Amino acid sequence: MIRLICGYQLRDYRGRPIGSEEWEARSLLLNFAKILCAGFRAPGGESTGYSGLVTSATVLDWDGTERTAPGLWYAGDHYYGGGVMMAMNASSGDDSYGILVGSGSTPVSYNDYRLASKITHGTGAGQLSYGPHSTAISLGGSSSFVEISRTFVNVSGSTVTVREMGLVAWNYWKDGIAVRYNVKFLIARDLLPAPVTVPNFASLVARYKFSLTL
Amino acid sequence: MIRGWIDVEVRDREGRVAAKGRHEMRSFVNNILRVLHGYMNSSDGTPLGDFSSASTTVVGPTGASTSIYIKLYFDGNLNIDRRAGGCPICLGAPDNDDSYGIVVGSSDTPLSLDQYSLGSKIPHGSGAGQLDYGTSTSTETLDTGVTPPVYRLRIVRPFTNTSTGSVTIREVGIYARSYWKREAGVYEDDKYMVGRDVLPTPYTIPAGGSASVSVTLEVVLG
Repeated sequence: MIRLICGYQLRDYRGRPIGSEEWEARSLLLNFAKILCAGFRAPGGESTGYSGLVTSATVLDWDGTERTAPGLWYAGDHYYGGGVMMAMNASSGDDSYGILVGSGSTPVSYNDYRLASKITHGTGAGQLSYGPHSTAISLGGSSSFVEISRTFVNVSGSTVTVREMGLVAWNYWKDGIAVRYNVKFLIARDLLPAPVTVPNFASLVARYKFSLTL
Repeated sequence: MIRGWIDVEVRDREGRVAAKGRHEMRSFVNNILRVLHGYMNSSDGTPLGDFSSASTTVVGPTGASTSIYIKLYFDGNLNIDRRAGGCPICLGAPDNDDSYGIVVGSSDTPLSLDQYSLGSKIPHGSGAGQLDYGTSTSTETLDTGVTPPVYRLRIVRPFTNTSTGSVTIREVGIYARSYWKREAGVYEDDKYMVGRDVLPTPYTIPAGGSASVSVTLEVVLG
């Protein structure tokens, strides 16, 4: 069994921990299940010369529009080709995928496709500065985990309250000079156990951890 | 949460059900986390502009570490055909292929997350101690009639005993294939185990009999 654990750590302007929480997520979304299965269903070993879509998932993008996300796809006879099924580690300042946070408190539903109210990247009122992602992996014989985390810094001049977090994946494939598939979609969404108020100049580190235990 | 179930149904040479059971799948192994780690790190933060790739290291069936691609993209700077694409987690194995998909074995070596192969794989074939591996098929269903809802991927594979003696299954493995193509050739083709379970009850397939082994992966939804 693979468990998904959510957590956060709140740090003051000096970087000292001033709050943390970790809880078992019950938040994997239909989008995640579909794209994972699109990969697992793939046969592999297609014949030489084959091109096209082999397996795919119909996911809902951030706007709720149905989009095709390949699990396995080959470019045709063009100069460019290839891609990735679900990238997660967005760069600093990019609030379109990776770990996102929000201020909404709408209960989680399995077919959610966006946060209830995303806190956008920035330095204005009600915004947080989205940092880079970090990952960690720890493998043992009876207990293992892999984790992705992201730092959010409040430089807005006032407090910002976080009530929800989510993980958005990016499915992106090119064919020739054209982008063939390009969709970002929410794969997990969680409400924090209690709202977290991030003081000005403080930071919040949010994380998702996949855990295996015998 | 992602969990799984293993179903085994054994039939004798006349097609009558001789044994049947359902067991909770207890163990994905560390390779599945290595792949997830690869996905977590697979963006360079920009659209694919030039040759770019992301990879992760898994442990192959021989125990050797192997780098597999999570992302692979070729640019057009070279005036030749660079078609490419692929997938690192294929489970849909074809007929007669015992190197990936659902694979069965005869060992009851206890589980450990760092295992990378079955204790003793039963190979494809018709000789003593072998089984004829069939084609994997899969179905997906969303079940909202349970709380919480689950999304199921059921992979089924038939095994036929065409040898002259009985063959006993004690373990079930899930092997993935990472397969990427470039131009007209294969750029990468590796297999690695992502799950293994020792069955609480061994299943003996008589000569002329068969077994259907299915793995049902369940993503428990929010």
